[in-house]
Amino acid sequence: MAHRRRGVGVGRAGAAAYKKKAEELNAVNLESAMETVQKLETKLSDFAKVHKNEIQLDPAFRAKFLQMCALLGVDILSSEKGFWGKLGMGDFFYELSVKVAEVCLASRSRNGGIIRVGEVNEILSQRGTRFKFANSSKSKKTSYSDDDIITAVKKLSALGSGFRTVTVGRSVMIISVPEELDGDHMQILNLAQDDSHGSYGVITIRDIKATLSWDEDRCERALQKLMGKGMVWLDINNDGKKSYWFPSLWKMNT
Amino acid sequence: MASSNNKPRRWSPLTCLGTTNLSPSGLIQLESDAGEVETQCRTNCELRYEGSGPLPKPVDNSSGFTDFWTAIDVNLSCHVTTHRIVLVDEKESIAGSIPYPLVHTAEGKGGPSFRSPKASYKIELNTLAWGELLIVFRGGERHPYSQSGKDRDAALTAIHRAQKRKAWEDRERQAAKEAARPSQTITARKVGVDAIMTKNKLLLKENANLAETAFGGNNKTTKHVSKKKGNQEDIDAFMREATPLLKVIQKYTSTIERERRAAASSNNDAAKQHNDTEKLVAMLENMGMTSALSEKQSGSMYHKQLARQIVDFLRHNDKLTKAGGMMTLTDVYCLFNRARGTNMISPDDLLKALDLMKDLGLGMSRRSFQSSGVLVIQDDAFDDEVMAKKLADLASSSMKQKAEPIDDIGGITVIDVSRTLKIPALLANEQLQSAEQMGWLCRDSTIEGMRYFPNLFQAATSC
Repeated sequence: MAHRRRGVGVGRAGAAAYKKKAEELNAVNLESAMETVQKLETKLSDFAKVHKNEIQLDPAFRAKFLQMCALLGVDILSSEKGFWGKLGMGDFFYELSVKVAEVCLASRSRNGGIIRVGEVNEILSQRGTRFKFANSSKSKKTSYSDDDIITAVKKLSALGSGFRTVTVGRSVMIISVPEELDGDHMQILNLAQDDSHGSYGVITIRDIKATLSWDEDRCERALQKLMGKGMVWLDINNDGKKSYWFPSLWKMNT
Repeated sequence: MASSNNKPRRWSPLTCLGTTNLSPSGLIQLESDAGEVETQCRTNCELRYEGSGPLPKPVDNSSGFTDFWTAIDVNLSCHVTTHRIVLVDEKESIAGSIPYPLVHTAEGKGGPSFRSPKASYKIELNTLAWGELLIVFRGGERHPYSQSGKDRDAALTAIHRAQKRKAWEDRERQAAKEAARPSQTITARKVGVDAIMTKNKLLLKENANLAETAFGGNNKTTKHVSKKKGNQEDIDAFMREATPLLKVIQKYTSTIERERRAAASSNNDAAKQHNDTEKLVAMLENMGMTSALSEKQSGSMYHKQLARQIVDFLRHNDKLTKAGGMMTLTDVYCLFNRARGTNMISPDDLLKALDLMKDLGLGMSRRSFQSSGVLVIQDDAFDDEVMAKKLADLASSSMKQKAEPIDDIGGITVIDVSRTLKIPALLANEQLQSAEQMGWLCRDSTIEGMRYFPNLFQAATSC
């Protein structure tokens, strides 16, 4: 009966033996962990070598690849120096993020710091030469997809100037100022974007009251805030009717 | 750069080598138009001269030296480039170079032997100008001895490769090759338009060939179309193989956490485990899996060098001073990457480099504004008080000139400040807000925007 109290197997030796066993297991674990990482590294570099061309030229493939890496928890663009520098993706995205930043800056006086991703894409493809890099050897036009631009903006957000994306209805907007836009503003933007109420990109206080059932005060406050930031333009016609225009939602003529 | 003129220079092997100019932040200035590139860099090295008697002082500047000769320089970093070997004493900001044309042989010496199991790893350089010089590698902090072996081997391979390549003779070789190209020789015999057209055709053909050989064959482009379908399957196949591996790694991240905590509390035999954990974390970070928690690294060599490069870039042509002593990180990022063209840096790299700037004492640092979270790089000489006073003066002077008392109410806006001081609107906004907090300005917020006026309350209460 007495031995029963002591326990059986390893438990008999006591806590010290447990600890030793645990350490042994840990050592084995760590070694195999490192082996696994190395195995993964070789697999990834083989993949990268084979598909390097694809990734650089085809935006669809690129998007899929980035998605895969996101699922795996790997951030390809975190550093040029690391393992992923071999892919050459870094240069592509950093160049794109610089271009996007410049486009946003150039249009800030017009739209107050909020711009559609589609518009950025159009500007880049139409006036591409103005933003071209001096050493860029790509004579063929690199086509950027909207997803590429969104990834580039995500990377820029680390620099603290308030770069971020926000979804308004059907389109994605890039905000390049650190100003905050709260729920009311977003709703108004959504409404302006909606074709079914009034014309596209314009809004009157009556529209807001009709759809969102806000009171006069609330509408005024939100619109004035947006005006102060330069994101909305006020238009008073001869009858004194006020309409509010959103330059960021206008589409460029093709 | 270097030591000031009144302090006597140390008389040691380093100062007797070829003069090397360092940039304001301590980086070597490579001759990029000659195609010089740095291939290796190792720290914790020593330079020794084994000959009897001292080395002769350099011819161009033989005065200003101390009379005392020391045969050993310690705590140097050894940079191997394609054209020379440069040794830098970072603390004193002096450097010396040994060009390859002057190096007869470079051999590895030292390492464990029967009699001295822990003899240091060295490279013995047989030079034509300075006799026999010894570069000794002292290794890193963790594994000094094995690290020094690796350092020595890496440096030696780089040196041998550079010697074989003879990059300094590239210019002449290039010129000779140009002259020998068929496009040149053939068209030497033709005349007029015919010559020009033939030359063009041949040139294009040669360039195409070059491109092909450089990129290892063009079988990819012909197969591109048919391979499109195959790509999706490739990705799927890859995902299938990689996912289980990734899951395993994620399991180990929790192990790492445990190890870290264990290592922190008990530091005797958990030490060995700790090292392996660190190695694993380093590997994961290299792969970009930063979610595997990285503690604050002491700053890799790459980021330290990047920090210096950024500082050099901003000081060149006084970019930072012209911008008012302060620049948003986005601006720095865009300017720096545009200047680089290729081999660009990521935003994360920029942030890491900025963190190191303060410790390296380079005269600039990162600053974040509390209210809006805007990040800027700021010259250490920048003073908030000075800027606030400047803005207060601007505001007061705007009150004086009143052409139409009704339309012009004075006061300054963000746009005014931005235009006058030539700083971006974002920063103007921040400066105005901080000036207001310090009590120099008062704000007036209307639907027309924000105007700032000199703080008359302050002036009123003081008198």
